[in-house]
Order: sequence, then C-alpha cells, then structure tokens
Amino acid sequence: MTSSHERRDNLIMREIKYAEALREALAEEMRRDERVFVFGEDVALGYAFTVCKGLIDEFGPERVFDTPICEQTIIGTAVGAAMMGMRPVPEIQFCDLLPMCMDQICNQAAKLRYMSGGQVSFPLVIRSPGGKWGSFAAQHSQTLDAWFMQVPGLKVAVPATPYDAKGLLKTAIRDNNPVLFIERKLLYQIPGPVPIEEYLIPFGEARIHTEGRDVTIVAIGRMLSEALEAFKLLEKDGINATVLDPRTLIPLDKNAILESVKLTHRLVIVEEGPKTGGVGAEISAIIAEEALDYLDSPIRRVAALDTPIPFNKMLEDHILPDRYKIVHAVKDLMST
Amino acid sequence: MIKKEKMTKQRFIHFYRKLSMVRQFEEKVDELFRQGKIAGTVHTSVGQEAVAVGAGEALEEKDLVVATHRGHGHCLMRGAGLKPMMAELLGKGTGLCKGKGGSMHIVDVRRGMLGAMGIVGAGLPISVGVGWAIKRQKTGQVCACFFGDNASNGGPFHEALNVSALWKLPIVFICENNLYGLSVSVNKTSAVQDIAVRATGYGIPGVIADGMDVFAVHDVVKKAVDRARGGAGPSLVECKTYRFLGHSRGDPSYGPYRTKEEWESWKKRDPLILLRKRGNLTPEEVGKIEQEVSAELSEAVLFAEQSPNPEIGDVLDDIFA
Amino acid sequence: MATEVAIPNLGYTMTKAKILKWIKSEGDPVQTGEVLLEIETDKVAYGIESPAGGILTVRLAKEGDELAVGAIVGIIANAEETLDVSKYTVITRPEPAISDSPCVTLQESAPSGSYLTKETVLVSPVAKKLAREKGLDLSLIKGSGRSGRIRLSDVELYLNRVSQAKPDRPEAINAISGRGLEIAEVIPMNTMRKAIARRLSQSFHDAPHFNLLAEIDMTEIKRLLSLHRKEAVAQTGTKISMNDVFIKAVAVTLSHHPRLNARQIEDRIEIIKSINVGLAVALDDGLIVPAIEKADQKRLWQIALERKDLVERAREGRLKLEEIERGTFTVSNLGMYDIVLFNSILNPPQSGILSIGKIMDRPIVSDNQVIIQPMVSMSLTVDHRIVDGAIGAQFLHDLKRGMENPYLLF
Repeated sequence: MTSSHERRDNLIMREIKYAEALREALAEEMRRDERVFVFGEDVALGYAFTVCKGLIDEFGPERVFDTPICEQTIIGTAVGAAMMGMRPVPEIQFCDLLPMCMDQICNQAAKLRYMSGGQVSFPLVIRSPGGKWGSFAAQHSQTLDAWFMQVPGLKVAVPATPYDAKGLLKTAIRDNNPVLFIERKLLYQIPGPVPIEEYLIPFGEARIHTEGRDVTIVAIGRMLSEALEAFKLLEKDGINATVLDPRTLIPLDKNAILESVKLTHRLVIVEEGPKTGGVGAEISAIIAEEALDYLDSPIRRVAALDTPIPFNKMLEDHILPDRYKIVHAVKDLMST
Repeated sequence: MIKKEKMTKQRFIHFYRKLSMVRQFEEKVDELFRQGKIAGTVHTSVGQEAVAVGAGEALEEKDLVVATHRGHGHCLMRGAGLKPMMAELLGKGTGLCKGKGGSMHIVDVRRGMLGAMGIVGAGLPISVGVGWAIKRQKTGQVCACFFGDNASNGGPFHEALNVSALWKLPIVFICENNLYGLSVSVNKTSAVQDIAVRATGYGIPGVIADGMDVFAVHDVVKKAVDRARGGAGPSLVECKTYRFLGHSRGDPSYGPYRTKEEWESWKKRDPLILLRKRGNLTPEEVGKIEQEVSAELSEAVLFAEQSPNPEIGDVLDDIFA
Repeated sequence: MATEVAIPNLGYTMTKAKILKWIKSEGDPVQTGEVLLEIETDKVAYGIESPAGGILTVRLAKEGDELAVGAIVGIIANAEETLDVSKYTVITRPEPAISDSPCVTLQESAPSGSYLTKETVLVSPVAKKLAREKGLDLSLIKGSGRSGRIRLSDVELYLNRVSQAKPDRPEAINAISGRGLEIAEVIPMNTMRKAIARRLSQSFHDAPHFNLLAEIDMTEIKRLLSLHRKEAVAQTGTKISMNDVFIKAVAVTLSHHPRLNARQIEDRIEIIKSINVGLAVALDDGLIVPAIEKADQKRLWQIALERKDLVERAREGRLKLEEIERGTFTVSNLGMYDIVLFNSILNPPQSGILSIGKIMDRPIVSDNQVIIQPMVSMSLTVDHRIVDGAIGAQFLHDLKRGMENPYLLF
C-alpha cells in the first residue's frame, strides 16, 4: 500500500466540508480505478447525507446506483463483486443498520479469505455514519465502533476531520481488505483544511493534535473536536493536554498512545459510544498491560452512559460526553 | 431452440462416472468421519448427487458456483482435485484451503467454486454480487447459486431474488429441496410446498425438476443457464430430492424425524440406479467405472492421510491480503 | 464461640508488627491472659495475651510474618467446637520491608477479610517505580494525591529537597556501595533500625531544629548529690545518678515552661499536662527513650528507682510501648563518652530535647579571677514551629539557674 507524506510545507490547503472531502476521495479513486463503484440506498442522488451526490453525473448509473432496502444483499453484493475482482464501496445509511448485515460483514467479508486459505481477497469498503444527529433517538444515533474491533479480518477507520476523512478513504479503497469506514453524521457539514494535492493517510497511524505534558486525551470521531475545546479550557487552568486521535481502530496505533502516556503519565479516553465494552476499555487494557509503571493516576474513560439514546434533546445531551465532562475528568485525574 | 445432446452410451457413462464420483466421495467422507479422521461435522449429499452433477454439467467451465454447506459434490463438479479436497477435509496443510476452511467452507476459486457457505442463505446475497460483476465485466459467465429449501424462507433469499430480477443478473438460483431443514419437514417451514412458486413473486421463471433424475436436472438447469447467459436475467429451479444419510454425521438416516417407509421409497429412486436403468449400463460397465473411481479416491485418501498438518505459524496468515 | 486473636494497636505510631515467637502451639489449651505469642513493633517486644480460655485451634500466621494492626493471627475455640477454618484466610507475608521495595498499594476493592487495608500507603505506579529506582523509603514521602496517594510529583519534590539538603553529595541518595568499593559487611536493617531511620529522618525534615547552648556550673549539684547519695542507697538500694538529677531539673523547669512540653499535630499545638521526661538509652543496635511519668512531682530517689528499672528493661528489650510513647521531653547524655557538646535530633513528636555533655573541671572567670569549677555544656534543641528562640532561651536560662541553685528546684 503506498502512502505519501501527510504534511509537506508546500501543500496548498483549502477549507472543505467533511462530506465534500469524502466525495472528493470517492471521485478521485473512481477516476483512478474503474473497478471502484459505489452503491446503496439513496446513493444516486446522495439524498441522505450528501456524500455521493453528483458522482452519478461523472461516473454514470453503472458505477453509482441505488439498491432496494436489503442491507444483507448490499454487503453480499459487495462480497461477491469483490471476489470477482471489483472494488465495491457500498454505503449503509446508518451504522445502526449494520446489525442487519452482520453475517455478511463479519462471517463472510471478514473471514472468507482466511477460510479459503488465501485464495481470494475482498477489497471492499463499507461506509456508514454513526453518532448523534440530534433527536434521532435510539435506533438512528448509535456509535458502534467497538463492536467491530473484535472481528479479525476486518479493518475499522473512524475519521474525525475532513483531512483525515479524505486521506483515509482513499487508503481504504486501495486496501485489498474489507474496511468498515465509520463516519459521523454531525461532522459531515463541518469544514476543515484539506490539501488540493493528492495524499493518502496510512492505517494504524494516530494523529497528535496538541502536545502537553500533563495528560493524554485519546479522542475518537466527533469527540476530537470536544477534546480540542477541552484542551483550551484546561490550558486556562494551567493544565496542558496531549490530544491524540487514533484515526483507525483496527489497526490501532498503540505505540503512539504508549509513548504519549510515558510522557504524561495520565490517560483519558473519550468516545461517543457507551462506556461498557467500548473502545476505551480496549485501550485501557492495553495501557494497563504494557505501561502500568508509567501511570500516575488511574485511567479514565469519558463515554456515553450505558443507555439507549433518548429522543429528548436535553436527555440526549446529558448522556453523551462533551468538553465539560472531559475537563471534569482531567481535573479529577490531576488530583488523584 | 435448445440443442439436445444425443443420448449416447458415452454420455451415460460420462454422467454415471460423475455420479459415482460424488457418491463414493461422500460415502468415503462418512466413513472417515466415523473413524475419527475427519473432525467437526460433515454434511454429505448421498442421494442428492443428481442435482450437483446435472446442474454442473449444464454449466461451462468458466461459470461460477456458490453452494451450501453441503457442497462437496459441487466442488467436485467444478473439477477440484480429489487430493486437495480430501486433504482439506482432513484439515491438512495441503488442503484446498490450507486446512483453514474444512468441509463447510470448501473453496476452489480458480475453478469457479466460490465456496460452500457455512451460514444458511449467505450465498444468495453473495451471488448477487457475483452476477453483478459478471454483467459489469461482460464476461458472459453465469453464476449458479445453490441453496436449500429452508434457506428460501430467510430474508436473504427474498432480497437476492428481488434485486437480481430487478437488475437482470446472470444467475441461476437452484433450490435443492430435500424436504427437510435439519430435523424439520418442509411442511412445517414453508408456506408453500413448491419453492419454485415463489419465482412468480419476482417475475422470473420458476421450474420444478426431478432431483433424482440427472438428465431432468440437466435439461432444466441448461435452459435457465442459457436464459441467464442471454441476458434475460435469473431463474429459480427447484430440484425435488432426498438425502439418504442424516443431515450431518451423527444423524441417523431415518427414525427421529423421517420414517423408514419414506426413506425406502426415495431409496428406490436412487439417482445411480435410475441412470443405470436409463442407460442400460451393464454390470461390467458399472463395475469398471466404480472401480476406477474407487482407486482414484483411495489415492486421494492416502495423500490426505500422509499430508502434514498446517504449520502453527501459518495460523496468522491469510487474515489480510 | 470462637475468639479471634488479633495484633493489638499498641500506640498511635504503631503500624505493624512482626511475630517473633509463638509460645503456644496449635491444639494447646490456653487460659485467659496467658501469653500466646511474642511480637515486635518498631519499639518494643510484646507478648499477646489470650483473650479467652479454650484451645488455640489454629495459628494463622507464622514466626517472621509481618502483619498490620488488627490482623488475626489465631483462633481460640472450645474443645467441642468444630471450626470452619476456611473462612479465615491464612495470612501470607505482605510486601517485603520498606527498604527493599516501597509499600503495598491499596486495592480499590479490597478482598473480603483483608487485613491489609488499614495502614497501607497509596502510591501511583510511576511514583512507585521512581522511588524503587532511587532506593527511597516511601514512608518518608508525603502524598499530595487523594487519600494521601503519593504521586510522581511528590517523589520528584522529595528528591529535589534531599539533593538540595546535601549539595556537596549529590549522589547521597544513591550512594549504595560506591563505584568499585568492596563492601566489608552488609548489615540488614532490623525493624528498630528502620524505624529509627524513618522517624528521625522525618523529624529532621519536618521540624526546623533550633539549638541553644548553655554552660552550667555543677558545683552545687555535685554537693547535693553527695549529700543524698548515702541516704538514697540506704533507703532504696539505688544510687542517685546525675541523670536522675537532670531529669528532675528538666521536669521542674518544664512545669514553668509548658510550651516545651508540647507537640504539633496538624495545625494545632497540644500542650501535654503530664511532664514525662525521657532518657535516651543506647542499645546494641539502636536507641530507645523510656520516659518517667510526672517527673516533676517525683522525689529524686523515686526517679532513680524508676530510671534504673526502665534502663534495665530497655537493655533487655522488655519495655512496654506505653513507657516510650508517653514521653514529652527527652534528655540525652553522652558525657560518659567524653563528648563535650552535641546537638540531638528531636524525638518526634516532642518539641524539645536536651543534649548534655561531659561534666569537666574547667577554668572559668568569677569575680575577676580564674577558678576551676565542674562545668557541663548543654544544648537545648527545640522545634521552631512550636518554640521560638526566646522561649527556648528562657527555659535554658531557668534550667541553668535551677541547677546552679538547686534549692530552687528540689
């Protein structure tokens, strides 16, 4: 898998939205390789979250098409087509619908290569948005990242910025393996700097946004922006945090987290999914196993409460993590 | 106008050899399992050979097959080697899947056997993808998707038939209705007893074939294959058949949920017996074929038994490409 | 009804004890009050008496085990009783002693029936690691974290302070055996030595030591002693020693200067009612300070009797913890070693200590003439947090005056 340097001094940056960055990635990869095609529900018009909007104009209905509501067959089609050498990029409209096609993702896409003894590979990317929208309630607001960390054979990417989204999606499409590419609904319309030049972001490489000696904050998805706000609030109180985004969960850049904890001696993990069995649980275990002697305080996880997400906006905000909860957790750590 | 193959003696012998190969392979597998040489479980297709053989013969070499968990016969029909197949069933490193797949996941992609599928119904959505790619790549291939009676009751069946009919994909859906989904009779699982009837729900042809008659199967499937290859889209073929052994090893041929009478009546229509009669094959001709097949099989078993286990270090291979 | 035998709390500074010797074996009949086993704290050896009569059914710990206060070491039951011993977990040796590796860290959810939670020290993993690398005694480090947890910054602060305190020997902390120097003998530190090390080090760091020096003319005292000696021996069989005189003199003077009979607890000064003057007694491998209670109210011969008994028992290791704990002021005399003058480290939590040198005939000026008098130099060391220089000076002044005019004291 090729990768270019993430940052060169002579890159020209412009501000584009997360959804736009994803669309650019899709278009560029579809231009580059005619085996790449995009399909799913409401994809032709890009009606749900606009990511695929306009692609049909350039690439035609053979490469950009709608399917009926049949999640198992959407992924099954991807599996079959991938077996035949195509490079499918199906979209599952809400990550809450991934449970509908778990068999095709976890039993077929992730395992058929292994079970066949390597006879065939599955270069497919399943795109699906997770996280809060705002009163979309329990079945349309979930963050299920952690579920898929435990499927050997499946890679999982969770981009948090337009820059990361584009670079990671391009890498995912070029990867010869099944990738679950979990986006965030509320990030789609948030702009960020993205180079005009082509670039790829390798999997398994975290991104450090701020460097501070007092605590390491690992933040995933939409929680990255909350963590960065928390960073500013903490700075005012003289607490300097390292904010680190792993960007991919499988493979996980655990070395970056370990090295950071060795410097700061404190770790907080922030995620939008429920706390029990979450990504934070996995990362905490890794640090406890491999860097116990560097910890000056217990590890803290800032995550959603273990409850279905309520419809009422105030209740929803209450159960989800935010910058203030991050600040509170950090300050609490500083005094233990 | 479909050209009918001349029913020459050679043709009968050709088909009989195929049937015998599947039959003896399955019986040997059953024996090896009883001897403890095959681990886990095996699902043999003794009695259902005519479907795999008849359909297999209707396909071209370039065509693709997606099968069920009872897929040894389909794999053989695609031309997979006996030795690597046997080795795979014994879990050896020389097996088709390096010992990592086993009976339920036997795959030979190069020969167009895209896989036996361990999950009931999983092959249906996957065949949609295969069909789509064929159409896109304009290779003129056809995908034959085998599934059981009970799989036709699950969601993926409906999704797959609907979408492939919608997109006119070059797929032949072949239902091997052996009247039972494990221990439950099709009476108790399907609202309609003729699975082929469901085709009307998707606007595609649904045809029933006598699954014990290898030529009947062949002819029906051939028609569907030609239709698919011609671009008219998928068809549903239902083969009424019967498995002579239990669902998997450990399950008796009759007793718990099948009556001896039923079993015996189907036994009379054993595909091999039917073919022998139809082709007027002499005992010598039969004997010769069966002996040749038996010898090949013994070689394969010996190869498999003598093959080494996979290396421990190989366990982490082939997760990712 | 089974009765548990536990390690008693013998004093507020006691945190743990070591089992020296079991007197009774499993299955032995015991009576209430009979000594079952001997333990050693950092100050004394102590015999644990049976709380009930019956059979010593099970011993849960063995000789050499170090246990915390409250740890159950045995069960007394009736002859007929069958005991479900499984519910008493046999205590295994806790973490090795302080100097080897720092203290046991607290388990967040202590196992049920855990005996180790009361006095364990909280320390974070990275702080523990650094302390271990530097050979630090964690009990000397104050924890600034929640529940007193020692954090990395606390260890770093401690290291800074220590290295600043000894600028000419920056490697003092790590001066284990030096590079390339052959070690003649390694003496492992026993409980008492470790305790001394820990306590004096803490005292030295926590209390700002302030020293005042006075020279006292002992002529009158000597005359007094020679007068009383014969009488005392006749009555009590004990000679009155110079130390007894010092003890009494100090005690009486203290009664007029209560500030030196005090100790600091957190943010308050507690002035103790009873004046219990302790005498530093040197042992083979350490130092112990038994105290005479209400020394200001006792006659000299009473003090002498008590002093003799305490010193004897101190040398035999038979002091009661209470006899040490009750001390409010210490007198230390190194005159027998020809030491002229020295400054002592305060005996925590006391606020004053008097260090006495050798009584020597020395030339002094009196009435414009040089005469020879028996003189003694004394150094009063006080905790400057509690006792200011002027107060210390007043005490020392009064003590000198009293000793030079004994009728004021006795």
